[in-house]
Amino acid sequence: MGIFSSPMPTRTQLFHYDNGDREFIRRRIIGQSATEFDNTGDPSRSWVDYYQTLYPFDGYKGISADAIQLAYERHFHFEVHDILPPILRPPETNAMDSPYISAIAESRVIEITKSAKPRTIYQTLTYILGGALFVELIIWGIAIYVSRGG
Amino acid sequence: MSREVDKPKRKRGVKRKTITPIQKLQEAVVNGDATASDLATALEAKGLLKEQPPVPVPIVESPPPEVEVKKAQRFRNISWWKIIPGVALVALGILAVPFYFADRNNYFAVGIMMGAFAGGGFLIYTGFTGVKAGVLFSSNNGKKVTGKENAIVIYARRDTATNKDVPYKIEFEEVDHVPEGATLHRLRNDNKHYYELMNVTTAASKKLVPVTLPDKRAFPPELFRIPATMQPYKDYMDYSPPTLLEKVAPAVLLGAIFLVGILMVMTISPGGS
Repeated sequence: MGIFSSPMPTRTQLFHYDNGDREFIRRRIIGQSATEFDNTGDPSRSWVDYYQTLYPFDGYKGISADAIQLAYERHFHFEVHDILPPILRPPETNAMDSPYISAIAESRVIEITKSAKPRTIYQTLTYILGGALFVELIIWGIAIYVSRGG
Repeated sequence: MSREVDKPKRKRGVKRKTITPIQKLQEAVVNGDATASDLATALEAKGLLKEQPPVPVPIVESPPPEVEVKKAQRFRNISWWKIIPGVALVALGILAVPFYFADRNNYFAVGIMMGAFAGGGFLIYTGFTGVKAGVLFSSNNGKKVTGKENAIVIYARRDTATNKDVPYKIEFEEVDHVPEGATLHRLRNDNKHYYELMNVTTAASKKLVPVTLPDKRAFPPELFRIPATMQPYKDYMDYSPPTLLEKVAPAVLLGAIFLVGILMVMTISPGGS
């Protein structure tokens, strides 16, 4: 944990490029998906991320140890061993309104609604105690002023 | 007698190496690519079953060797740019010592000594113990990296209780025999070329298969980002958990309130200054 930054959940992908290249690349996790961001900070691509399809990896050369997700540039879900149970497997059809996609979108809405707290307990305590310190300093100043005879 | 002209001459002392189909099948049985019954059928077809018994398939009954779990090796990073100024600071502190002994009221020398020793010691300590943020891993699943690794092997084993595949590791390996259809792929992390193979382990056999990518575009990741990230709610997406500074701030403020309170009592009380 950094002092001025908060940790973001990330996932390391063994990414399969369209031209045959491979790359171990780290992406930020949004909801249930490992997401790629463009230069402006907007999400550009997402890949579905299930813990069942993560392969442990102990690190190699400069690539750090992590749980590895296999990802493919053409499809948002890719697995080489048939690991995922059929109920979690994405549909084969190219449909945005499929129940699978709707469920993922709905879970994301529920998640952001719960987590979007504008003010945390730490911030509330900071404001209260900061106000108390300010009042205390004013009282101190007044007391010194009075003790010296006005 | 006519001599065969086209036949190449054999060198003396060099035996001709011929591998019969039966021998190939025997090797396949040992490697797990074929079953013993295939070999028996082939031998029976040749009429060799009675003369040459099939090669016994090695049965692994001994427990698998315990894998020694090694910690990832961290390279100690000695930062000379910290150590050299630290040593210089300590030397400055040592130079200030005679000035203090010459005049015990020379508080400037005392300040120089304290600052130089504390700062220099801190710099020397962090220079020797500091570890780079990016930790380099020289191990490859507990094995030393030899540089001869030529394949990324993706492992999963079949859980007999649930009859499901369970992924258990991705490893860089040195593979002698590459299965048919495997091609080299460039890994952008180190710009070297590797095969990408999948380990298919069943109760009967264990073999390596090249990873093939599906030739379809059922649902592109560009479209999937919309339900996955819910783009209209980007303001909420930028929410992040509180930082360490935000968590520590109330405690710091509480301490400041107590300190100011004590100072207030000391200064306002009749005995105070």
